[in-house]
Parts: sequence; structure tokens; C-alpha cells
Amino acid sequence: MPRLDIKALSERHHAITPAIAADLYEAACVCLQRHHTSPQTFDLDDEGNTTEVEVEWDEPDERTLGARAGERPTTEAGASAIVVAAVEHARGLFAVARADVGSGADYYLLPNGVPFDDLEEAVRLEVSGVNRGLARRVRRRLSEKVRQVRRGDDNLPAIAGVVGFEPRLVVLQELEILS
Amino acid sequence: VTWREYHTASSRAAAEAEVAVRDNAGDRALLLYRQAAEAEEAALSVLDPAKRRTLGITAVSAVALWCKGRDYGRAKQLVDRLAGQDLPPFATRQIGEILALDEPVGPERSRSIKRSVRQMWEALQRRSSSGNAAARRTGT
Repeated sequence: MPRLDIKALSERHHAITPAIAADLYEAACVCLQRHHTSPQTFDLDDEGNTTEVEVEWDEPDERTLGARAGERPTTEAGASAIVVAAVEHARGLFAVARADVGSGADYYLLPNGVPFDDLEEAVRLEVSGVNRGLARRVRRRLSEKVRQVRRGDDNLPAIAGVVGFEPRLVVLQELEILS
Repeated sequence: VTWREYHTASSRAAAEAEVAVRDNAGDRALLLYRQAAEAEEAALSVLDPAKRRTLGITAVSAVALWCKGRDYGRAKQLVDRLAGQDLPPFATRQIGEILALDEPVGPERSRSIKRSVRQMWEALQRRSSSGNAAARRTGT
């Protein structure tokens, strides 16, 4: 079974520094460990095409669990690790840039090896994570994210990705190019 | 130095700032956010304005970074400069949203400056909208 490599993101994704990769990975470990023990099989649903992938992680110690007890920021960071690895696996896209927005940051993606001098053709990645709940909650969140991206009036393309840590599900949806 | 080099420097500083925030190193985080904002503004200055999507993304990012660094004076200067540029609609909207975000902590003076930046941006947008409407009416 193919594996989602969530640990060494900085080695493959230009926009993710080693410090951020470590931060995202640590958060993902906490999110995963809340519900499961490593390794686990996740369903990766890319526009209705579902495959199984294995996710493996290091069990966080008590200190880490305590330091990352804040559910929302930890889920957001953990979701970034999983979704970035999922779009890499499913689409062969890599994070080449990040841009700060209100309270967080967006990633911009390009196929491996494509040089980038701007973000005119880059794909925006909208990430979300659901800590607890069933698969339908994850799909509902995806619908919300898709609406949010469309309302954003941005020049697309964009991909919305949501991970459900409890139901072990990642869903990806591409938004059509409007301009 | 190219847009990419400035933007990469900005992203790295912003990423380090995020880690500093999580480590409760507030002063270091502010410093890093300001460095990131400075680099993002430099990226804006070397960007071909015809690259409108990149212009919009970079502009939003620069405003967000100045606000995260709580340097609303610099945010104000930047917003003033951006008001004269042909930003894509998503960027105009996002900058408005960033400036409207609540500032739960920090001195009242900072919050007051931020409010004034938001009001300035809203006024500039209203003026721009009415100018566009007038241009449409006169066919210019």
C-alpha cells in the first residue's frame, strides 16, 4: 500500500522550511494519536476516486501532547501536513510558495520541477481539518471550503482539501478555472 | 533580486515567526513578522504589475504581515500605496477583511491606528467604486 510521507515535507516542498515541517508533523502526530495508534490506513478521496494510503507517525510524548493541547491550532497545523502530502501523492503537486492571509497562510502548488517566477499559474491549496466526527462531517466541511474559495473571487485554479482524523479520511476537490 | 527571492525570504521569516508564536516568544515573533513584511513589500516593488494574480497575493500577504507584526504605521503606508494600484477584486476584499480583524491584545494606541488604517482603506475603496461607476456612466 502506498504511504503518505508526512514527516519530511521540507525535503520536497520548497515553501515548507525544516522548522515548519517539524511543527506540522508534530501537530499531525498529536491529531492522529488522539484517535489511533500508528500505522493506520486512510481513504484518500480525490474527486470521487478513492484509494487507500498508509499513514505512519511517531507517538508523541506527554510533554508534546500538553504543549499542543489547543485543539484548533493543532488540528489546523496537523491538517496542513496531511493535505499537502495528499495532494503530492494524488496530483504530483508541490508547495512552492506560501502567502499570509488574515490569521493563517495559504500554500501555492506547482508540479515538480516547474520553475516559478510568480504565482500566475500556481494552484492555491485551501486546507481544513476535522478532529472528531464521521466521514459526512468531513464532506460537509469540504463543501463549506469549496463555497468559501468560490466566494473568494480569486483567479482560480484552487484545490480544497480536508482531513478527518477520527474517520481516517482525506477528501480533495479541484475548483474549475473561472478566468 | 527577483520577486521569487524576496518572497522566499519573506515566507521563511513568516514561518519562523509562526514557530516563535507557538513557543511564546512574542517579541521575536513580532520582529520576524516585520522582517517578513519588509521582504514582501520588496517583492511587490520588483513585480511586473501585469502579473495581477501574483500582485494581489503578494499585496494581501504584505498587509497581513505588517498587521501580524503590529506595525500599523507601516501597514498604513502600504495601504496608501496600494490604493493607487489596480488590484484584483479578491485582494481588495481580503485586505479589507484583514484590517477588520479584531485585535484582542495590544495597546489601545495600536488598535486605534489599525482602525484608522481600516477606515482609510474603506474610504479609498468607496472612492474607487464611485469613480468606476462614474466612468461606466460616461463611457470612459
